[in-house]
Amino acid sequence: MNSVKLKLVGINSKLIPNIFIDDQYVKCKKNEFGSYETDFQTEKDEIKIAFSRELELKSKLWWLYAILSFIVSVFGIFNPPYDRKCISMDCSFIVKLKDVNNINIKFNSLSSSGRAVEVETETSFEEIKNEYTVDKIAKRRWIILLIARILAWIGIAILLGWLIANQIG
Amino acid sequence: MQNSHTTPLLRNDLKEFLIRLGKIFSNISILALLLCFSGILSFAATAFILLIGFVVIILSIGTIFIIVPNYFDILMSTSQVSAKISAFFLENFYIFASIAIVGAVLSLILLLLDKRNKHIARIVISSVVIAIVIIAIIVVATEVI
Repeated sequence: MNSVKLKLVGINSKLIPNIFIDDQYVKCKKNEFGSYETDFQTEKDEIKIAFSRELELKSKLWWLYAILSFIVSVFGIFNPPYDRKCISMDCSFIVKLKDVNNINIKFNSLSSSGRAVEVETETSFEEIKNEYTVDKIAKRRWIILLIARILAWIGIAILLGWLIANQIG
Repeated sequence: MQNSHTTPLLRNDLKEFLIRLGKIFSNISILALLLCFSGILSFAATAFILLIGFVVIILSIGTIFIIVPNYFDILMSTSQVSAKISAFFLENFYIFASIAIVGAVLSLILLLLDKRNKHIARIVISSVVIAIVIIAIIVVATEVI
């Protein structure tokens, strides 16, 4: 049985990754220093570790959530802004396991390009992908939302103007 | 593979939406709290306008009436407008207070659902809003002010 201790450093409220080991979602525990840790055992000689970042605008029902948020927040007045940068993370590694494996992952600051994480381990590993990219779908949806919000505001202004004019007239 | 962990890192779409709703309700409760106190603040503003007006009269030893013949009318009309605004906010105090409390409670519930990210600042603000509004309701209901 091989033991793996995975430590994740650099996670913050803007950067909360999903962690998958052999395509299985892994839950982590936050330690007293603010980093996340996970321990597990496996019979396998090698595992695939992958990280991804969830974007709110990538969800299937993004349009429904956006409409509901717009209405509840009184035409978007109280709505917190959506992530404008739409940066996604694409990282995966194949790690060849020994009996005991300590793997430290340091997440780099979010950027539109460049390496997403730095791996520190004595275990040998192969990097398949390790990059930050701008998610085009999320970015397009963000622009659609922005245009929709502007159009809605213009519509509301016209409606208000018409109502006021009717009241005065 | 055996996993021995408790804090989930995966966030589903609905949870994201609920957290967004929590933030929206938190924002609404903050504004409602400000509107609650607008009555008291605009009441203070009316008193302040009158005070300044009378101080100007005293300091100018009445010459302000020669410089601005309708000074008193202007002062009175300004304070009347301010008093009307104050009366509007005070009349609707309970509406704004209930919006603030409901918004803050919903915000607390929704933000506490997020196990991954602790929204400490917003949770503290919502708790403070609830406390302040409850105190204000008690003060207004018992007619201390």
